[in-house]
Amino acid sequence: MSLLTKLSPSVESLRRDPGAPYRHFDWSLLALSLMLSSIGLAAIFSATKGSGPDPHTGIVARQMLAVILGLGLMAGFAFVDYRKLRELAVVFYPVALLLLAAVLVVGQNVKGAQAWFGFGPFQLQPSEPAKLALIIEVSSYLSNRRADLTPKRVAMALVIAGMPMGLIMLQPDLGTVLVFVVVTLTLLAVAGTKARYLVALLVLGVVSTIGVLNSDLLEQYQRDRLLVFIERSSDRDSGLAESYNVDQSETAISLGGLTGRGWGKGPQTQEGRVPEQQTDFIFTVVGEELGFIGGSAVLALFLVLSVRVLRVAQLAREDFGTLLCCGVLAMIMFQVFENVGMSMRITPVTGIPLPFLSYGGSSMLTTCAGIGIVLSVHMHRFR
Amino acid sequence: MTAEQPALRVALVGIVVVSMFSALFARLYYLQVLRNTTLEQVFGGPRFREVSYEGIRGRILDRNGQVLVDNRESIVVTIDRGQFDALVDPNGLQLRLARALNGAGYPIKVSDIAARIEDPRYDPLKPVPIAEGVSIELETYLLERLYELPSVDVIREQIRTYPHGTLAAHVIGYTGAINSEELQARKEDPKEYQPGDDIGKAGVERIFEGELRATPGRRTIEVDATEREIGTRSDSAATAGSDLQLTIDIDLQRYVETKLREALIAARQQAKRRPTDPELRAPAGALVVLDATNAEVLAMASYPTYEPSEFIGGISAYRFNEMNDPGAFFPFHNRAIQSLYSPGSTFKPFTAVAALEREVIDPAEVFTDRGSYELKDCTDTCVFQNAGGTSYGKIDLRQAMTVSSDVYFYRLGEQMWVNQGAIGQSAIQDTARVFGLGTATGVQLPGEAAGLISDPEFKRARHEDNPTAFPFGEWFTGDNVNLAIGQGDVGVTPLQLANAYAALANGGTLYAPSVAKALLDHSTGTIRLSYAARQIGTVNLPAAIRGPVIDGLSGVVNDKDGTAYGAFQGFPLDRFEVAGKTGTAEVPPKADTALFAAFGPVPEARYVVVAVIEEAGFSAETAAPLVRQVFEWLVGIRPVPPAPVAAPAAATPTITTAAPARAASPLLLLPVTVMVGVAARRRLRRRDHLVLTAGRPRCPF
Repeated sequence: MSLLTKLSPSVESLRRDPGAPYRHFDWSLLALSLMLSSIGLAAIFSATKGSGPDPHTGIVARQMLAVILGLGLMAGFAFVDYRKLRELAVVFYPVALLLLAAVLVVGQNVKGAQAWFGFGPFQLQPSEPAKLALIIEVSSYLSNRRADLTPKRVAMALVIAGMPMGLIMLQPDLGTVLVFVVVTLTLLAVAGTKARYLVALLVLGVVSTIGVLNSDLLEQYQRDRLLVFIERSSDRDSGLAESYNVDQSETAISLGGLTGRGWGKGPQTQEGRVPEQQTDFIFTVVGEELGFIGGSAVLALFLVLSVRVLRVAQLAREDFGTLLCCGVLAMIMFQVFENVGMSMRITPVTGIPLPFLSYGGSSMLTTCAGIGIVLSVHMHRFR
Repeated sequence: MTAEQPALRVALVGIVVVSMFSALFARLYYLQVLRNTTLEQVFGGPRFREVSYEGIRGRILDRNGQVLVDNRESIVVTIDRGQFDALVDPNGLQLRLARALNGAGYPIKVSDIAARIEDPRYDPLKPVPIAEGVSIELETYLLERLYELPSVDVIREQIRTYPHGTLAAHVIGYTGAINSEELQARKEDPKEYQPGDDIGKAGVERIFEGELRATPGRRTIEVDATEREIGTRSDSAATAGSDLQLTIDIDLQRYVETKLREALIAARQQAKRRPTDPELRAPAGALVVLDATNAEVLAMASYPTYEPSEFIGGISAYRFNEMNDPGAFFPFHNRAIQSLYSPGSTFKPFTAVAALEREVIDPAEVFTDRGSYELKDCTDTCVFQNAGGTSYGKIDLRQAMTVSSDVYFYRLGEQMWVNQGAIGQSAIQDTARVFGLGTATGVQLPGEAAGLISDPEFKRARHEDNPTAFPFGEWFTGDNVNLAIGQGDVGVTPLQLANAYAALANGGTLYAPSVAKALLDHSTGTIRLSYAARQIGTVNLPAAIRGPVIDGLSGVVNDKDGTAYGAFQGFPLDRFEVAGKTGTAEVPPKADTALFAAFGPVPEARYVVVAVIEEAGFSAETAAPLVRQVFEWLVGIRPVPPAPVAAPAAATPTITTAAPARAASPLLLLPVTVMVGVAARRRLRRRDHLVLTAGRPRCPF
C-alpha cells in the first residue's frame, strides 16, 4: 500500500479521499430529473404533434435542446462549490434586478405580460433565473451571521426579496410573484425566524393579497382568473369565460380514468381543446393520456425528489447549504402544487409552469440549475 | 439558529410538502377514479357517423336507344376539411395549391379556395371539391406532390356528358348542385340528398329526377372523439338510377334543329314588301313533331338554344344571366312549351269545327269573298279585310280554308255572335278548349305555359280587375270576328297547337303529349316501366264535320290555290298526302309570326308537325317550307347521314362541325373536332373561374 502511495501520489490521494465531491454525486436526483424531463417531452409531443399524418416536431425539438442545455447547467452548478455562490450572489442578484427592470422597457409583451426578451427565435424570461438569484441572495444574507434573526434582519431580508417581486408585479406576472413569496417565507422559516414574526408576515400577506385584488395593480383577466377559482367553488354554473381553461383541463384529466386514453390518443388533447396545453396545462396531457397511474407516477417522482432534496438539506455542511436546498425545494414544489392544482381546480389559475414538464427553456434551465445547486450542496458536504 | 433547529424546521418543510402532495393525490384520485368522465359525457352522441355516396345517375336515351346524356369520370381536386383545419400553415397550403392549379391552366384565387372550404353547403365529412374536370397531367402532378400539399387529394367522380352537344337541350335540361331550397323540399326524400349533390334543374332531368337519381350508398363509419375515421361498421352500395328513354328521335331532332336554324337564316334574307314594314329579324322559332296516334313528341326544337355541358361543375352567374338576357332572346326558354303565340289562321279549323258542330253554316254553301267584310250592326270598327286585300270570289268552307279567306271566317265569327241566344256566347272558345287549346298539355317538362283563349267572361273580369289597362269589359262583335281567324286575345304554345291538330288528324282523341317512353334498368337495359299514351279528352268529330275540315286543310297543300301549294311543290304528295294550315299572325309593332301546322299522311295521319318562326313574315314562304323539309325526312327523303358523332370527351360536336364530316374522312376529322371541342371547353372554364372569383363558387340555380 505504501509502495503504491509513493509511485502515484495523485491516484493515492484520490483514492484516499472519501470526501472528494465526485464521490458524492447524487445519481438519484439526476435520474429523477431525466425521468421527469422525458415524460415532459412525451407530453409536449403529444400536445403539439397535430392531427395530420406528419407529426409536428418543432416544439419538442426545441424543448429537447433546453433539456440538454439544462443538464449541462446542472452539471456546472453541481461541480462548482456552492459556497462560491455566496460571492457570486453579489453579481447574480444585481444582474437579475437589472434584467427585470430592462424587460419592462425592451421586453416582449405576450398575453398581457411584459415578461420576455426576444433573441431571434429564442426567448428568455428573466423572472425564471431571478428565482435562483433570490434564493442565493436571501440564503446568503440569512446565513451570514449565526445570531438570532432580529426583526430588523427579517425586514432586510424582506426588502431583498421585495425588490425583484415589485419589478415582476409590474410586468405583471402574479404567479411568479407567488413563487417568490413562498420561497422567501420558507427561507425565513427554515432560517429560524420566530414563529410570531412568521404569523405576522402571513397576516400581512393575506391582507396585502386582498389589497392587491381590490387595487388596479392587476389586470382584469388576472383578477377574473383568481375569482373564477373562488366563485366556481360555490357556483359551478357561473359561466365565466375565464373558467373555460379550467373546465377543459378538468375534463381532460377526468377523461383519463385509471389507465388513461393512451399516449397520443387523448380526445381533449388531440383536438386541442385545452388552451396553453404544452406550457401551463401540460399536466392535463399526462392526466388524460396516461391516466391516474401516469399522473400519480409524476407526482410520486416529484415527491421522491422532495425527499431527496430535504435529505440533502439536512446533510448540508452548513446553514447556507440547508437554506439553498430548502429554497430550491420550495420553488419547485410550490410550482408543482400550484400548477397541478390549477389543472384540477383546487388552486387558482396562474401562469406558472410545471417544472421539468412544461414547454419553456427559461423554466427548464432554472429548474436544472436549482437541482445543480442541490447536487453541489450534497457533493461538497465534506469539504 | 441552533444545531437542532435546522433539522426540525427542514422536517416541517417536509411535512408541508407531503400534505400538499396528499391534496394533489386525493384530487387526482377523485377526478380520475371516483368521478371518471366518459367520452359520451363530454362529446355526446353516438360514436358512429353516416356518410352517403351518390350513385350513378340514370342515362337519357332517345327512342331508338341512342345515348343522349351519359356519365363520365371527371378528375376533381379536393381538400379534406378535417386535415385542413389541423394545418399549422393553412394559408401556405392554399397558396401552393392555387399556384399548382394556375400553372396547369385552371385559374383560381386563394380566396376562392378559402371560400369553398368555408362553404357550409359541402358535407363536413366529405372532401370539398376545389377544381373539377382537371387534366390527367395535373392529377399526376398533384398526386406526386401530395406530401407538400397536406389535406389535398385528387379523386375521380361521375359527371354528366352530352354526346350530342346542344341537341334537344330544352327537352333534356341540365343538372346542377342542389341549392338550399331544393334540399329543404327533399328532406323526406327516400333517396336522401346531401349538400353538393347534383339535381335535375330543367327539362326531363328535372321532371324525372326521382327516377334518374341513384339511391345513394351509405357507409356507417365509426369515428373517434375528434371525428377521425377509425373503422367501418356497415356499407351499402349505391344503386344506379333508371335510364330514361325519351320519345325523341335524335336523328330527327338533329335534322329539325338544323332545318329550323336554316329557316331562320333564310327568313332574315327576305326582302321587305314595303319599306315601312317592320324588320324581318327572325330571331327565334320553335318546331314540334308529334306522333298523331299517341301524341309522343318525336322532336321538339327551340331556337336559340344552349349548351347543357356548361352546367357541369356549376355555371357562372355571368353566363346564367347571359342565357336569360332578352337581348339574346332567352336561350333557356323552351319556346315549344313556354312561349304563347297568336295562332292566326292555323286557328281556323277550330272555328270551322265550332260552326259545323252548331250547324251555323252549311259547308257547301257558297259565299262571295270580296276582299273585305263589313259588320252589319256596327258602331266602331266595321270593315275587316283579307290579308293583302285579296278577294277570293265564290268560295265554300273547304275553299275558304284552302285559300285562307279571312272574310269567310269573319262572317262565321259574326254569325256565331249573332246567334249567341242559340249557341251561347263562347262557341268558338268552347270548341278550341275541347281540342286542348288554352290549357297546359301536361307534357312531362317543367314550366309549361297554359295559354289563353279569351271569352266574354274573361274580358269582363280582366276589365274589372284593371279598368285602366283594359278600358273595355264588353265583348264586341269585332272580338268574335277577330277570334274566328285566331287573332286577338288568343295565345297558344306550339305544342298545344300540334296536339290540337293531332286530335283533328286522328279522328278526335286528345292525348297528353309525352316525351318519356320508358324507364330502363341501368345495367341490363330491361324495361322497368313503359309510359302509355295518356288520353285526356275526346272531340266529337263525325265525318260530316271532320270531312270538310280535313278536305280544306288538304287543299292548302294539294290545291293550286292552296296557300302552301308552292311550298310543297315536288313533294311526293301522291304517296304521302299532307294536310296543313298556314298562319301569319299579326303582332304589331313587330313583323308577323309565321306558323304552319300540318299532318300526314291523310287520311290515316301518323305525324303532326308545327313550326313557328317569330318576326318572319308570310308563313307560306318561311314556316311552310320548313315543315315540308321535316315531312321529307319523315317520308324518307333524307340527306346523307351525318358522320359518326365525335368522342364524348369533346362534348361539343355540333351539327355545323358534323356537316363537313360527310365530305371529309371521319377518321381524319375526328381529332380535329375533339381538339376544337377541348379548346372551347378550356376557354369556357377559364372564363367561368374568373367570374367565379367575383361571385359564388357554384351557380345557385
